[in-house]
Order: sequence, then structure tokens, then C-alpha cells
Amino acid sequence: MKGGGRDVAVVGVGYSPVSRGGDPAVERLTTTACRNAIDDAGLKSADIDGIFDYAFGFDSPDTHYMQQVLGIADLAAYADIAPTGPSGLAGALAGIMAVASGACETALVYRAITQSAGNTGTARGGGANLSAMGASMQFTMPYGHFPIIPTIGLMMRRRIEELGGSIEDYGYISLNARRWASMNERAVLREPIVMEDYLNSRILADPLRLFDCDYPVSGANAVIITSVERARDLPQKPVIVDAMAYGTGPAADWLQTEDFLFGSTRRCADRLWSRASVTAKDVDVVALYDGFTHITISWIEALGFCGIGEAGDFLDKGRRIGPGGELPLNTHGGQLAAGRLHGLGHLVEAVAQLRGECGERQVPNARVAVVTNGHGPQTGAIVLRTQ
Amino acid sequence: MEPTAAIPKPAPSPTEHSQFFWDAAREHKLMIQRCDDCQRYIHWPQLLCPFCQSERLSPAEMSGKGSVYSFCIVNHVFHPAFAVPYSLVLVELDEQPGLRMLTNIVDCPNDAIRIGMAVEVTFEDGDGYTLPQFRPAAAEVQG
Repeated sequence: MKGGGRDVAVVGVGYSPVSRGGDPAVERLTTTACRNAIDDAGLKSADIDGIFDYAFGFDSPDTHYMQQVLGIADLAAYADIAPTGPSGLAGALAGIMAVASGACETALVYRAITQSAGNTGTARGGGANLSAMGASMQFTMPYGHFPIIPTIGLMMRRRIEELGGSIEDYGYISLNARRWASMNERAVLREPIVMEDYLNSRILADPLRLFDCDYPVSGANAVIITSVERARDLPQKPVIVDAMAYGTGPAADWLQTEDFLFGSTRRCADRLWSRASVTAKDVDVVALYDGFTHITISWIEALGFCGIGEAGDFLDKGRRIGPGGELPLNTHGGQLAAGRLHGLGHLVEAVAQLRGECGERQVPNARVAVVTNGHGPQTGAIVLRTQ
Repeated sequence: MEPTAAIPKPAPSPTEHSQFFWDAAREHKLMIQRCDDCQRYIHWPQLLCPFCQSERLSPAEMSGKGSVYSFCIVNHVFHPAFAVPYSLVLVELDEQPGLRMLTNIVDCPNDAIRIGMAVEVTFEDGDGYTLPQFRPAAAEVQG
């Protein structure tokens, strides 16, 4: 990995069951996803010497919990990453850096989330004043602003005013998710929808609609990261980490950042491409964060798949990002349709595509993938490729 | 949906370096932190100037004039104290490009709010605190 020490590969992926309703034990979901990832990599838990997870801080078991469960004697590197990171990809980025640097040999990364923790439709406190978001909430909550839905509504309105395009541009992202999800048995919303369904979905923060939002679920994903050298001895076709990047932008705030429409996606994307051995033209499949449709559109433009403000034309009524299109997007259905697994699901799907394991929804000859997470001051991205 | 009287709106929780903002609001003044060295305005309040790292920061009284940068109309009940629909608006203050505040727009129907609309500060005295709010500027109403 250019500028990043040892070459690193993703060698295992794991899933838990994903559900709506009920109250599944998140520690059990996490354990299932982690064991499946370790098995998928052809490893035993004793081979793991690094664990990284991302959490809001109340929604998922921590690294020590999982170390106990997995009976790992000692960890050479570990971290519970707090909520400023780029969603679930934060754990993967940390795992990549730990393996690349030699701090550990084989890292387990997970993101587990519950339906209630993932639901942003109910007011909750902003945390302590020593978090940037908590400190800013004195200026937002008294007005009835609760993260993050109204923030995205403000971005959408401003985007349409400043860059043109229409609300339907967002709708095509929503329709695309269902279209792909119909081919993914792990997805939770598998019925296709049409533009009228999108436009008629409940308005939450006009112009933002319900179908602009991802779908809260309970579930977990896990991945195993190790050196390319070690990957040669493992059973799965290794998926190489070609480049990785973070971004925050100045001000590091969702509302006060310099680039209100794009947050730090453009800075992160520029940093990513400056390190990659490939370019946007080489990309076969993308898994771009879709906590909200606005986020996905930002990433499409930030990564240079089309010009700034051109996503509406580029999407071509969804043809370009759908099955058979030149930029297959969120082939698992994304969080809009496969459920809010909070970012790591995007990485898991990209790995599955590059391994050629996606069955009906497989992108033919997929060799290069881009995975992104987050928006605002919390962005991260990875370029993956086959060997 | 009518607000539930029993549940108050969330009150501001000032920090040591944001107290001035709320104290000023109580006196019906809009004060924003400003750097004594580079003269730039800073919001939300910070401990050091993010532009030049100066420690010399002071509250500055603002004209209270601005324009609507973006807005959304909330139809979803996030919190029972807020009757829907209500506006959430980012106002860019006239003093500095990119200097934005979140507010509601008052004294104006939601469907009359437009990006670019001139607005001015007004103050809403609540239970134990005063909230700066924005309304259409006087010229905007007459025009």
C-alpha cells in the first residue's frame, strides 16, 4: 500500500442474521459475525492478534468483551473507536493501519448495531460538552434540531438550489437500492419501488423523505485483515487494499463545515486517489455510503465519476448504477434496503464482489472496487483490487 | 400535533466559553465570538481562533442581519415539545461569508421561506433562557 507500510489484504468476511423488531442480543450477533469471518478466512480465533470496532459507545460489545468470548490470549493492537469516525469503516481503517505498520499480524474488525441505536428519528442527548457534537447542541437542540435527519434535509434543499438537479435524483438512489436488494437474500427490503413510491414516502424534513433514509436493523458484520504475504497461505482469494484515506475538513462539524453540501467527501476522495494505483475510470463496482441518499450522491461526484452537480444526468434514471450499468452501486442493496449495518456492510459486499461470490447480482469480472463511509466531518474510503 | 406541555423543550447547556452568547441573548443582543487578532467571527464558540490560533477572543455585537442559506420543514416528531411542522433554517450572517447560525424562522409562514431571503434577529424569551430567532427583515416584509 503506497505510503502505508506492508501490503494488506481482506481475507475474511462475516455476517450475522439481520432483523427488524424484537430485541436480539447484540453480543450474540457480534459473536456470530466474528466467528463467521474467522471461519471464512480459514483461521482460528487464536490467530487473531488485533481487534478494532466502531461504536456509538452504548450499542455494541467492546474489544475486551470480544477478546474474552473468542478466548484470545493477548492482543498486540486494539481499539474501540468512538463516534467521530467514518462509521463502521473506521474499524477497518484502523485494522489496515495496524497490519500495515506491523503492530499486529491479523486483525478482526466488526460493527454491530441495534435497530434502536440506529434509529435517528427520536431525539436523544448529544453527549458531553467535550464532544464536538455535544458542545454544538446548545445551539441546535433548543430549536428542535436533532441529528442527523434535519441536517441532511438542509443539505438537499441547498444542493437543489445551488447545483440544480431535482428531488428525483435522490429518488434514483433509493430505487437502485431496492433493485439490487431483490437479488440479495440477506437484504431486508426486497420489493422494488417506483419513483411515485419514493415521492409519496413520508416527508420528515422537507425535502427529505423517509425513503431517503436507511433502514434501522439489528445485525453485525465482521472482516479479517492481514498482510498480503500471510494471505497467500489462506483459502480465500485475497482482496488487496490498494489505498485508504480519511477526511474531516475544517471546522469538523456537520453544520459549520466549509463545504456544506459535500462535507469532507471531496477532501477524502482526493486524498484517496492521490494514493491509489488505479483511477476512477478503472473502477468496476462501488459501495458508497447511503445512510441518506444525499450522501451517496456526494460520493459519486466527490470521487469524480461525474462532475460536481452532474449526478442527476449521470445517473441516467438509475441505469448507470443498476444491474448491467457501468457503475454498479451498492449491489447488496445498501443500507437503504439491506439495513443500517453502519458502513461495514459496504466493505463486506465489495469484498464479496471482488471474490466473485455474489451470484445473481455478481458484477462480471469485478477487479477494482471503491468503498466509502460517512459524510460531514466523518469520512473514510478504501480502494480494493484483486491481485 | 400539539406540543406536550409537560415536556419542556431542551434548554441550552452553556459551556464556560459560550456563556456570553446566552447572557447576551437574555439582554436581546446577538453576540458572536470574534478574534481580536485576525478579526474573524467564530461560531460555534471555540477556545482558540481556528483561523490564527490566537487566544484573544471576545464577544462582538452583531447587526442581526443575515440571509437564509438553507432550510427544511420538519414534519416528523423528534421530540414531543416541538409542534410540527416547524422550520429549521441555516442563516448566514451578513458580517462574514460562511458564518452560519441554526434557527427557526418566526413571523413567517413556512411556505414563504426562501433561500436568499433577508432576515433579522428577534428574541424569544423562554423559561429561564432567551433564544435568538430570525424573522423576515423589515424591508422584506414591506417589499
